[in-house]
Amino acid sequence: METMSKFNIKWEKYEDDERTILVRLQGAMDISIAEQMNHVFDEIIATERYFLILDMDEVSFVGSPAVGILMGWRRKLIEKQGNIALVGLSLELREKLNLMGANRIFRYYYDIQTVLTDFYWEKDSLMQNVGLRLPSNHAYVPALRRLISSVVTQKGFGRKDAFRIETIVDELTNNAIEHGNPKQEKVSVDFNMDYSKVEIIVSNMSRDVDSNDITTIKDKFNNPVVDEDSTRGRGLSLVKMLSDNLKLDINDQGTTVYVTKVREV
Amino acid sequence: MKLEVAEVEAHNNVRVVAFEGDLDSTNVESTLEQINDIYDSGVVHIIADFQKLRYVNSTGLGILLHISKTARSNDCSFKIAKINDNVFEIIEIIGANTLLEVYDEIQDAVDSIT
Repeated sequence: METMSKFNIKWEKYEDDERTILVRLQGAMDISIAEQMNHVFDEIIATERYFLILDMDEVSFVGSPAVGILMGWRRKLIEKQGNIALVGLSLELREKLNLMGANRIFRYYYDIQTVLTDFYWEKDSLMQNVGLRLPSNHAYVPALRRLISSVVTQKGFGRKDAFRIETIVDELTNNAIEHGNPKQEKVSVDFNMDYSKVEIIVSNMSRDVDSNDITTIKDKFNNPVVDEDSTRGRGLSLVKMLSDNLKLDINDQGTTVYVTKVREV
Repeated sequence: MKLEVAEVEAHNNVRVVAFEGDLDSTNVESTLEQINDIYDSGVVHIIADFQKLRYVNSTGLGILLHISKTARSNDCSFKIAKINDNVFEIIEIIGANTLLEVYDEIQDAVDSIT
């Protein structure tokens, strides 16, 4: 048993963001700190800044009463459209908190910068983008779809959403490869997301298409027909079912498919 | 994608094949070959254990439908058990749940063999 170091809490207005308070905690967060914590929280709320970053780098212990206090803080902050983020927790403390189920409630971060990036993304509905150009080759697709799936999971999308988005990326990219121009060798995947939705844009460069081809492709896109005896041709109907909006743009340069998938709560 | 083949007690012509990983465009061909090899060795019924199949895409499903259909036309069978929710959703959307023989447990699939 390590010795309990004395508890200390300090807060300041975070300079670079007018909505944020930075709170530094030190020592053991046991049951004796309740009164001090609540006093500090009243001071913080009085500033009308409702986003708290708790720097817990020097915290040696967190008991369940302290977790309860922080949960109370979080509830009040969320009522005010704010939130709370924990930064710098040791792995050992994270594990302890996880045993109390705190990882389902709090978000942990390694550094303040990432907290703020996420905060702006969430509260200001900023769009974040991941864009890739890849050789027109199926071998690259599994890594690509898993990358996108893990990005949305990091962003707090649920497992079901992540799986559906993985499927959409996979099917569209495979189609772009299969129907693209092998000489051009490029497929591009753009992935835009804000808090409430993701937009997936997949393009390829065309083979030589004339206006008849374009009509045929549009028809196929709008009414995908599945041949029961074929092992192929089911991807697009799958994407249609999994996405909230689907659009095709085709010209003699290439084909672009736009998909929107709304985050499910 | 990994396949593991196991025998079933008192059923010489049955194999349980455990699928592990992702079934997609990069491995459908080799999966099909391995399944065909099992049938070619005289096995009549394959029970595919999907517990550890994390992911399947439309190409993977296309191959499963093809395997199932070929098996039927050769008086063999291809049964699937223990599908996870995500994979089942994909199978359902494609409408393949009515075309494939799907069971909850391996034992249910074994019991269906007369």
